[in-house]
Amino acid sequence: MLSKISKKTIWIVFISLLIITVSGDFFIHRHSNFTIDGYFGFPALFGFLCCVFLIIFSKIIGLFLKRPDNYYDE
Amino acid sequence: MMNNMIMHPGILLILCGVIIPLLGDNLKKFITFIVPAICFIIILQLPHGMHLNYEYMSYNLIFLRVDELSKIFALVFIIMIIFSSIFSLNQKNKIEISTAFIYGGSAISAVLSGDFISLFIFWEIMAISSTLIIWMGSKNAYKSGLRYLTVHLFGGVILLIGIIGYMSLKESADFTLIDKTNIYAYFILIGVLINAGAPPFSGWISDSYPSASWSGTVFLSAFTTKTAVYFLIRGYPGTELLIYIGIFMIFYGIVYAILENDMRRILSYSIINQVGFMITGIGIGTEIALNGAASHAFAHIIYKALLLMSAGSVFYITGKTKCTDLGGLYKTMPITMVCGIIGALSISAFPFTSGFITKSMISQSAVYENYTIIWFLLLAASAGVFLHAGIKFPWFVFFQKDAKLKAKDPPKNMQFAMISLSIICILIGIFPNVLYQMLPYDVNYIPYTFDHVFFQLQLLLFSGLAFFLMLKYLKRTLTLTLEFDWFWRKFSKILIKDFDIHAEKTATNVINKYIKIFDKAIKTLYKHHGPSGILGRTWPTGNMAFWTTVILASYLIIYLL
Repeated sequence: MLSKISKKTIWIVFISLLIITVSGDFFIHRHSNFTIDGYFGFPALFGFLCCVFLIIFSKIIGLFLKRPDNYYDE
Repeated sequence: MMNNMIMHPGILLILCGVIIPLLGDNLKKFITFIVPAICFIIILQLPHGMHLNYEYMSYNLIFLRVDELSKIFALVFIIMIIFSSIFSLNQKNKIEISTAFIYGGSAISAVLSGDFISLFIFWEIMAISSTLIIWMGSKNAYKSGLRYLTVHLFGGVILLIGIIGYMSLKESADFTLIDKTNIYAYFILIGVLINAGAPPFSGWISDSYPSASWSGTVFLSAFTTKTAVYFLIRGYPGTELLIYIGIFMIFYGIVYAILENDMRRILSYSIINQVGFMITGIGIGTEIALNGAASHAFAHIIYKALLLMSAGSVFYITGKTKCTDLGGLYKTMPITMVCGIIGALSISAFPFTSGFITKSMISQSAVYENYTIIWFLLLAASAGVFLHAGIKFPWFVFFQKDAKLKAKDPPKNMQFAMISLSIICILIGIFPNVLYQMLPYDVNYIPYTFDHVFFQLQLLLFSGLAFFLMLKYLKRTLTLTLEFDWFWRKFSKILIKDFDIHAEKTATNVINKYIKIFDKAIKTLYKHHGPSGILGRTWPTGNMAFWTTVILASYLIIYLL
């Protein structure tokens, strides 16, 4: 298990990375293909929401289709 | 014209595979090193054009059709064989490497074939040799290998129907762009899609590949699906149907990988997902899309082999494959962890890795062709890939809880193979032109612009954030997830069982009925011919004398009349 302190540092580094990449949008004019994808922070929000949706969607599929490990064994 | 002096690299590899089991240990190791290297050089120097042509029953067989497309696939196949052979040197099963050579050799031969007949022959050798590799795996391997073989033989038959029909229609065996105005073209398409792992036949990948040995899975990951991708690039570019099949495969792979517990099955699902990207590109069908599909296949073979080597090393050392049993290996297997992470970053298309410069070409082609929804779906899928393969695999295997497994990094040769492939992934990412030069069409695409790099980083890092925030929903459980193969693994069994019960009843009724008739017949016979029956009795001699007299008398009367 990662120790508590190193876990905290990793989160701090990770969150600062997130902030840096989003604040990049202030300095770089991202060229857009379909208008909406040029908006400030679009990829960040889109990526985040897609993943949340995919996890929830998978969970729902899993409710119906998950079986114990030895389902196929006789 | 004919030039029979050229050595065929695929057939050379197949022949080597056949003789390897007859050789002593040292000679075998030497050949395992040297022959793939020789084949690599042969492929690099193959001159463009048609070679090794033979006339067969009025059809022209072309064993070597060398152009950019066939060359790039042959090249990545041989690179894959070189490093996987080095990786698998510690494999105790001595036959595996020999079947792997036959398998890889026939895949190379298949992509180099210029006609349907020779392509089909190598296609079927691939099916058989890959089944043998699966059978050399775990205890459950026999059954899943049998299922794998059944699916592939079925696909092979459909392909053969298509090929025969198509050849008789066109009166030629040449394999070029396929004319889709006849039904046979669709038979061929279905046969090839079965090999690509398209629904409803996607189950075979995640069912069979993880049953193979720790080294066998690495060999299996590369050839079958990518030969199908090659076939589609050459035969079916721009078939719109493929876009939707591809998108379905992409999300199917992501959802199932998110639910999966076994690390090698997670990676198998991500094969379906990645092949989905390629098939979408083929469906879009423009030059940049096909370049994207071909280069993505190239990059994918290498990083997928790397990922499976990393998973294979963990399996080799710890004997475990389930995420619920693994964790905390970053301390004991640091090199395996670093290589696994490089593979995971490449598959997620992180900037400066191979996936970044190839997958983005497919997305860009969707922009050019105004496939707006497809572009957004591909973007969502890129986030999803990072989720299911990019973070999930390394996190659950090397981090999460400490499973307190005794482990160390694998032997030097396995480390060498992993490190080499990691370097290739990064080099391709940093110097995209090396790969772009080999592509079938000229590339006017620049992957590294500030806005593209920042876009991708935002997308991926925030996907990562979603992963860690929702970690408790991703907790691994000892489960599997049903998929299409349920129909033939379980439903057919229930059906047969039910059929059995009814059939038994009906059969008993019918048999009983006939037994009754038979009984009756026997009884009647017995009645007349039995000891007391009228025809079975012993009659007195006087009786006989009487009847003889009657007959003679009647004869006399008739005569006199």
